[in-house]
Amino acid sequence: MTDVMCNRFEGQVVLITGASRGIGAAIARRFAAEGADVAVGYHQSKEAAEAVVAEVEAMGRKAVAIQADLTDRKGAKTLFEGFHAAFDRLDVLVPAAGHAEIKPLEEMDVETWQRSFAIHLDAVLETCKAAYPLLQESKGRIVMLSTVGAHAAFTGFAAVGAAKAGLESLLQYMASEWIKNGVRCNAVSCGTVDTGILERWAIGPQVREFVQSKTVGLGVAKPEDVSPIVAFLAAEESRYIVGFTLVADGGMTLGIDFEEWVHAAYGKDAKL
Amino acid sequence: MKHPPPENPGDLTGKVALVTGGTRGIGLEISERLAKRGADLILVFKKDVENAKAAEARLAPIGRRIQLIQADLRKPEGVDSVFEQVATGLDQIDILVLNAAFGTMGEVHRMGRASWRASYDTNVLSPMLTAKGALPWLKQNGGVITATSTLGAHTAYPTYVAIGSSKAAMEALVRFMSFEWAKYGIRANSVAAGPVDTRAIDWFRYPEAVRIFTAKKGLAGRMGMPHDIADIAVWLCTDESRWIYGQSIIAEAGILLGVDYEEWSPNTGADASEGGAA
Repeated sequence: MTDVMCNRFEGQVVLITGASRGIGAAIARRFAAEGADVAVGYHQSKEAAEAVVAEVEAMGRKAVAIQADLTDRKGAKTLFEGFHAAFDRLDVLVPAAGHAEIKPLEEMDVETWQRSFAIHLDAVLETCKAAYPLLQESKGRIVMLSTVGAHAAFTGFAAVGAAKAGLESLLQYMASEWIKNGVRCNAVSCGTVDTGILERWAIGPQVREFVQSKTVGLGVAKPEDVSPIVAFLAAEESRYIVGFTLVADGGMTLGIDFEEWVHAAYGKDAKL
Repeated sequence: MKHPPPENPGDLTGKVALVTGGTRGIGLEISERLAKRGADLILVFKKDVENAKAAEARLAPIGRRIQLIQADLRKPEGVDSVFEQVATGLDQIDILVLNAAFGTMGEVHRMGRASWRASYDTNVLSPMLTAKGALPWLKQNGGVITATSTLGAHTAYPTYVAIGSSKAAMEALVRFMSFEWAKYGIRANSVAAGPVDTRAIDWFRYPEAVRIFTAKKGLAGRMGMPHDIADIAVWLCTDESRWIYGQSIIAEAGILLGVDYEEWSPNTGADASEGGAA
């Protein structure tokens, strides 16, 4: 038997917001597979959240679904009332709730802009603050989710990108202030992930084509490509990493590949 | 390959890892963890045969194959000899850990040309030549390259310019390797470590100051240990990190994360009265 990573969270409790679908659901499954009990935060997708709970229970772990609208000022309070009703400790918080509305800046309205900051920044701050007392007791960890859209511009993505850039800054402050009490905070900054969101965007097909064909990387990630990274940042192995945003984009933003332009300029047979 | 069975994540059974500088310090901790995950080892060392034998003896009980190779990787003929011996030895490389490092301590105004060149030869030229030499094997099954770097590549410490700047160049090299070799399924990443208690700390003019500073500032109330960095480096060698390309993970326990004004309060005594200069 080799020294593998398979039960690093035995006896621990993990709270994931936005866990009914997509990346959040994959994270819930991964922690459960490694022995954790899981609180599944969700906003609207009750059935999907209950399905995740059922999957976690099938792995022999405890799970509860907790409904809360985190864009509401009382959302975090609601979430933690539900949490305290089921669990008396918290080891890992993953504030994964989010959504992305695509809109070019000239069409940007205050409501869209504020919705993005409300969920990606304000809600994360409030959720983390509400979790902080429990996390101090357990010497817990927070793993936030960001996007490479915080570091580079993808047309129409400004509301999310700017809010997540704010989140990455919040991370540094939180990590710096809270590490003194033993709470370790980090983030994963994702490239494009197949969460069903591409199907909901008008420009989804173009985004997929760009990521698959025009970057040097692996293309669009599956949620299961992201969840091991979140687990790593919550595990003892990463004990020396604090306040860091780890880019995980399959190489999507590594650099600029000229191949297409070489072909445009010199014909299909030209080689770099 | 992209989606390994979740019951066995991080397993490296059947893989072969070549680790430069793999017989002491962070490199030895990395080698041990790779072997415990199931990888066979090719350990490259420069001079100290006795130490290399001791490392081999420490790793032997894990039960993996170990090939020791002595070579000076700063010289093209040294690199060539490594891969000649790989070809006649384990003849497989899935994981390349670029860990061998060297640096001359000193400020810019004291830096001599030979010292500068020696740091860049070990920290930049040698990783380039070594990765190039390992490429034919790495290409075969979509290999992974992990380099150990330093926080000094991202910030500045006293007398650290030759190491910090050359490691910054190495991290750029890693990014370019990742960019160019992604098409072969090869991933390349770095770990930039804060001060770690290895013999390299004694290269500093005031090693005790570094020890006290990092223990006071860091998360654990202690200086970083080789295993803190090795755990990260090894994770980067597993499929668990399959979506991470061309990155450098900064691992410094929050030492330089923020400025804490509390300790600079004018009322707290001697520290504060001289604090303005720091």
